[in-house]
Amino acid sequence: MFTKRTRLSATVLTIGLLATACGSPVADDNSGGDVSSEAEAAAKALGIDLSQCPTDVTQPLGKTVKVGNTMPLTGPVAPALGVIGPGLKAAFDNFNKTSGLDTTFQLVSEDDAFTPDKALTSTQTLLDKDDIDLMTTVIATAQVVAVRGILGEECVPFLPGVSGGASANDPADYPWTAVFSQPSALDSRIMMADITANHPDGAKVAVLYSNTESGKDYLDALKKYAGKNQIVKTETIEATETAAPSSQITTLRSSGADTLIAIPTSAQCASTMQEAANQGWDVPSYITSTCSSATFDVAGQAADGWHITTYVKDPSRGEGAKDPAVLEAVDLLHKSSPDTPINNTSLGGFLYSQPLFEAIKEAADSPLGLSRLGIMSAFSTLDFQPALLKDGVRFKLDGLEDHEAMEASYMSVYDAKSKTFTDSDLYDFEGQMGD
Amino acid sequence: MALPITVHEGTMPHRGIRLGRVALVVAVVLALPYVVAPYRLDQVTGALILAIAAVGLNLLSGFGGQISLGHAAFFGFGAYTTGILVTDHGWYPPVAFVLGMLVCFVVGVLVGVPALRLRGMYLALVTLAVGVIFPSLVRRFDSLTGGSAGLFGISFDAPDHAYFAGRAGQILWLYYVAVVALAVSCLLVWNIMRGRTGRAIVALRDNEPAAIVMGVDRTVVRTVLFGISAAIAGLAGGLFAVDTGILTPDSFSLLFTIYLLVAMVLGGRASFWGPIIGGFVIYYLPLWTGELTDGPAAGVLFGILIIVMVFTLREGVVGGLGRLGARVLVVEPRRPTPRFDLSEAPPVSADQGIEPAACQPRQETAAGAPLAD
Amino acid sequence: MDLLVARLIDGLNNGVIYGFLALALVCVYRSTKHLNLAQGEMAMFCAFIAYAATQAGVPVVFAIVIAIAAGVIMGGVVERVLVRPLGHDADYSILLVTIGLFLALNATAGIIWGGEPLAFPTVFSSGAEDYIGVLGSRVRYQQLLLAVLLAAVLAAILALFKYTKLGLAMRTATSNPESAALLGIRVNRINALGWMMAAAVGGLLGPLVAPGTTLTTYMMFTFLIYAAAAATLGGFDSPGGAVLAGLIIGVLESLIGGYVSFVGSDLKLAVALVLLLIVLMVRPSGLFGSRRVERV
Repeated sequence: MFTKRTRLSATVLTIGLLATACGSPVADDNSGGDVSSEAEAAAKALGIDLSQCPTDVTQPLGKTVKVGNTMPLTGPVAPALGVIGPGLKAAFDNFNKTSGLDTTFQLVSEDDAFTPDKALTSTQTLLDKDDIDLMTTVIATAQVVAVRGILGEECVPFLPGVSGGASANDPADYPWTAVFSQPSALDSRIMMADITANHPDGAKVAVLYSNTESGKDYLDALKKYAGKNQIVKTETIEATETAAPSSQITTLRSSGADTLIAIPTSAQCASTMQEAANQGWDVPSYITSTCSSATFDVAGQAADGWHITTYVKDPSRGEGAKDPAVLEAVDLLHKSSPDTPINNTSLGGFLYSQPLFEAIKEAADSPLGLSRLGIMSAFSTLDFQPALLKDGVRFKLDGLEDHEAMEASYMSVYDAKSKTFTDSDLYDFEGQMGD
Repeated sequence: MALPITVHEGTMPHRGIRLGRVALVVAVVLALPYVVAPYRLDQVTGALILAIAAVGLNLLSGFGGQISLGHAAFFGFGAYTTGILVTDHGWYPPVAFVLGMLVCFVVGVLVGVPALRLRGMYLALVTLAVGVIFPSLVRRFDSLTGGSAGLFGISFDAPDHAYFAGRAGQILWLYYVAVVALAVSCLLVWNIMRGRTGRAIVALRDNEPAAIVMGVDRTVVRTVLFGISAAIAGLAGGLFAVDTGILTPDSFSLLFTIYLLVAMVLGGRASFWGPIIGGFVIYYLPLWTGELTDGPAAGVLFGILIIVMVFTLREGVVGGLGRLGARVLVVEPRRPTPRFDLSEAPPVSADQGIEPAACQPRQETAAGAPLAD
Repeated sequence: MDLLVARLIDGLNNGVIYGFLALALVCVYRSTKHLNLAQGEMAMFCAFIAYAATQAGVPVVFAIVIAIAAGVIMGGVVERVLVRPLGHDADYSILLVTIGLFLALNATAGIIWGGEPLAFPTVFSSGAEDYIGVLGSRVRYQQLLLAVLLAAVLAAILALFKYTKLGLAMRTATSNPESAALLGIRVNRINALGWMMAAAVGGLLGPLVAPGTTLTTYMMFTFLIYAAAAATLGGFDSPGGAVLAGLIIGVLESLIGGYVSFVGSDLKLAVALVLLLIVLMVRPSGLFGSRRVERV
């Protein structure tokens, strides 16, 4: 405990030390450099002001490039989403072995606990401690939005952030960030289109959505693309809710709706389908594509006939399980991390890193070379068929012109007996999803 | 030289030791930015913010004996008040901090009033309710708070000076701001606890009926205590807002309250340094377990470490350190009575007959009042 | 009318779960006067053990018996190893221990069984036609079973306290440990029994809830909050009060969440907790809790 006198002396000491501390511990290093006309043009196309970057982003990268990543390693969702980590690591190891480049890409992962503030702190650490040149695969809109600002200030390409949310996809304001996941707007649009196909005169739709940013994104898009369909009742479910959404389904059921759209969080997918079945509410039902195929198996008979848009090859069943690209990823993952379960989440590590690797290869062959700007520029104009996406679902970007990477998907229906999904024709909205 | 060395309270050597201790802390605080990398300093700021909130909780639960499972809400009220005022209304952050503290004080008093009649488990549940409701309210009033999308762009820019240049300079600036805020919070708690009010608070904790009989105004002391504790947590929340720049309702979940509780108890309840040390422990523990092990194993280790620390450090880290320190140095207390009544310190008496324990606040009966059915 | 019935059934179904878990909290409170924050996680862990048993080919009913046995062991071990050594005055320490246990159990289950939801079988068949119709709403056999078991467990606990010597000893040990010890009651054993009973109740609840919520590591998160609220509302030392309060909270939140549009689904937990606050203003020891008398 302090006495008055010691407090006074402490204050004097503090002021004295502050006054004498003229040498700043912070060194401000703002180096520019001569920039080629190609770089200038590429930067202009992306809306990047090179003079704002603290380092020269046109310089070729070194022999070892550190790639940062944050991932929920702790917290309630860690067991479910943490398995992306081993997949991502296996994908990087494989890329380093097979790319033919003499540059090694080293993945450095930090915990984000699935909260934006932790993600930001961890990204800060990655920037300062590991001097990362690239950032990849931060999961969920809130975390992507949290870290893109600081990465942009440091001119570190963030490729990609895993988010289908509209707010995360903003290359005009955040030119160093690109996102990759099925946009919720696309999912909603296909749902509404499919409903319209079955109800030419318009359906009465009830919507159960998660009380989260993603859920609201969906609702907005559903309203936007409703067409003749009418949303007669909406109900929310809290992301933290663990009980089945019984009272919500009761309310929606009593509204007289003839179609149900459910946007729960991935943990609530199975219980939502079960609850509707338990109440005997048997109308055409659609569920968000964030629900994994395994949740349909968990729901069992209750999931029979539910619709879901699918765009990723499913390693657990049907054609996906026999696909050579899937089998290769499964094999690599199994060798590098035998305990990791094989599902769409763990294979997500391969899926999300695919465009990055594609962009790295393209950049190495481009006049800009393997620089930060080169990779960013190559990524923003990628147009290719990722091996883990279903045929016809392309990854196509065109700078600021077209910033929706994925604009097509299939509508699939689950059959509980055979545990398989039957796909519809491809719904392709290429070039129509931008605002 | 034989250990432990004995010094008498109030003598020159004792003052020297105290001064030395303060100087040491000041030196560490000032030297830190020169020794550690900016990202490490950023982590220290995060730990300091947790420490401030734990200091606030300690005032209520440690000294006051009233458990709170809802301090995440006060932290959140402070954070959102600061966030909204800074982003939407362009307020200067320190002014927003003060208003955030005021808001928290009022909310704290409001919660403190029903808390008057409740104790133990019942009080715990009421505060738990406040903590659980807060994130729902943030989501519901999303036009004000940004809802689940979050509130962005809250910043407290460093003064335009070469010393605080760049992103590293900004980190340094927030570090100093957090240090000052922690110092202010500690001085506030210390000023309350060393005076009449402090004795009233401890008396209420240790034996409420007796304290009331002795003339302690329970209503005023308890509610104001609740308010001040909430205000300190609100200050920490305001700092959190400008430090991370993002507020989402999930940051103020029950888990955060639990972290604060762990920080307070592990550090050392009802001590001045305890919550500060606890804040650092609870900030760095998950970081270390995360580095030691991969994925979910970190969670297991974290849980087990909490249990192990409860068992090995029964009086918290500070208690453990104190016992260790007692082997080296023992401070003989002065006679207790004159110290409280006279402003001038009396001449050091040669009387060594008093019990040292008479000066120690009673800690062992906190929260558990005698009862009979 | 049909909608009202549907809402009542929704509320009662959830209320039964709240009451069940609240009963477990009360058992612990009556023995050592603590709030076991890990009560829900212990029940979750038992459900996973039952799941492992069903995977090994054990029929569901026996898997549930195994879960109860696992609960008894877990409760006994926790009391003996983590609670008793800390002594009676260590309220905060024990709260922390239950927090540590909460985190450790949750993460351990995640490591062993992964993060994806798992399917847990119901006791009775739950096909499309397996229900009892009540004015257009459906009551599933599993839900009915849960309610019946809750009534049975409650009756057993009340009878134990009221009519048996052991129950008398338990009451004495709780209300006055020192006198009980002087009377030759082995207070430690009685306390351990309380923790074991609580964990057994959880062990029964977990596998019965799992089919509805799906089996996940976080299946008990919200239930614990509701259960704690129910135990408080009922009075922390009253088993009957806790169960009744659980039902009241379940029904009220369903009705208010359903009919008051301002509240909706997102604020119904908040409303339940505000109601709790109001009741505690009038009755600081809950609806059926025993008053405390203080000595100076």
